[in-house]
Amino acid sequence: MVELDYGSPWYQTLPEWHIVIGMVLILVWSVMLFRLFFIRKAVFPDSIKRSERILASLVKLLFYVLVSTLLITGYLITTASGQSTELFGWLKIPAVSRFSASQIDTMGWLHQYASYVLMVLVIIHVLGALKHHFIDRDETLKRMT
Amino acid sequence: MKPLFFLLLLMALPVSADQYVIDTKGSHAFVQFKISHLGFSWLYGRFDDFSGSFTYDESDPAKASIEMTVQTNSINSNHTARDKHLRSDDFLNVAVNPTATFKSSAFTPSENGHGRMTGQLTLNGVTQDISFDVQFIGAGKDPWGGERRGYEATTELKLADYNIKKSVDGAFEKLWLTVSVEGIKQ
Repeated sequence: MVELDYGSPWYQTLPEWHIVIGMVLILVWSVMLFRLFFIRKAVFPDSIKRSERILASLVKLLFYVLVSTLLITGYLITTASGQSTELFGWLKIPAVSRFSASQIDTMGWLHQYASYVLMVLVIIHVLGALKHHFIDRDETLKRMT
Repeated sequence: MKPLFFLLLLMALPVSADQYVIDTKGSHAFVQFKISHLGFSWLYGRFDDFSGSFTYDESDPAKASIEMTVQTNSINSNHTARDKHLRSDDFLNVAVNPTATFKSSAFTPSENGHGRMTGQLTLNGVTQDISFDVQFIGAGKDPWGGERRGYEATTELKLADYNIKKSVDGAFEKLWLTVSVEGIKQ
C-alpha cells in the first residue's frame, strides 16, 4: 500500500480488498486467540536446545503481538473518521471511536513498521523450518502438519 | 499613583496602529484552499487550527501588517484517508514542518480599504515571497462591546515552489488560497 500510486489503475480497488482481507483476518485471529485458552502448551522435542526454546517462545509471542497490532491499528485507521466505513457500496464496518490527526499518523506508522518486522520474522521463520528439516534433519517441520 | 502614571505615559505615546487578534475562538476566520482534481472538479479543503493578529491604522493604511501561523496537521479535506496522505511527506510533511507561517512586509492600499499584502509565506519549510489580493469586508462596533475588522485575502501558489513532492507539473498543481479573517481590536 506504501507504493500504490495515485495514477495506478489499482488505486481504487486494492485498498478495499486490503481492508476486506484484514477484516476476515480479524475474525480468524479472534478464533486463534480464543483457542489459546483451551490449547495445551506445546512440548519441545528433546533435540531442541535450551537457547532455541527461549528464542522460539519469544518469537511466538512476538508473532501474536505483531499480528494483533496490525489488525487493531488497521481497523482503527479505517474507521478513524468516527463513521462506519462502506466497502463495495454495501458492506459496512462500524467505528468505535474518532481519532485525531496525530493519533491516526502514529497508528499508521505502527501499522507500517509492525508489518515490516512481521515480514522479516516470517522469512526467518521459514528459513528456520527449512534448516530444521534439511540440516538438523529433525521433526520440527513435520510437527507443524 | 502607579496606574495613573502608566495611563499618562500611554497617552503621551504617539498614536500607534490598532492591534487586532484574529477571532479563531469564535471561528470567524478561515484558511481555505481549492485545487483541481485532475481537471474534473475543484477539491476544497481548509486548515482547522491557526492563529494570528494584524495591525491597522486608519490614518496610515500603508502601515498595515499581519502575521499568521497555521498548524499543518489540521488540514481537513473532509476525507480521513486523504487527509492522512496530505499530512505525509508526499505533501505537507507535518512531522518535519508542523507549521506554515505568513509574515507581511508591505501593504499597498487601493480604494475602499482594499489593497495588496506582500510578505513571506513559509510552507513545507520553504519560504517564498507572495502577495495577496486583499478585500476589505467591514469594520465597526460589534454587539458585545468590542470592535471588529474583517478582510478576505486570496492568492495562487504552485506546489512545486514549496518543494511539495507529489505536485504534478502543469495545470493541476496550482492551488488557490483564501484567507478570511475577522480581527477583534485589542
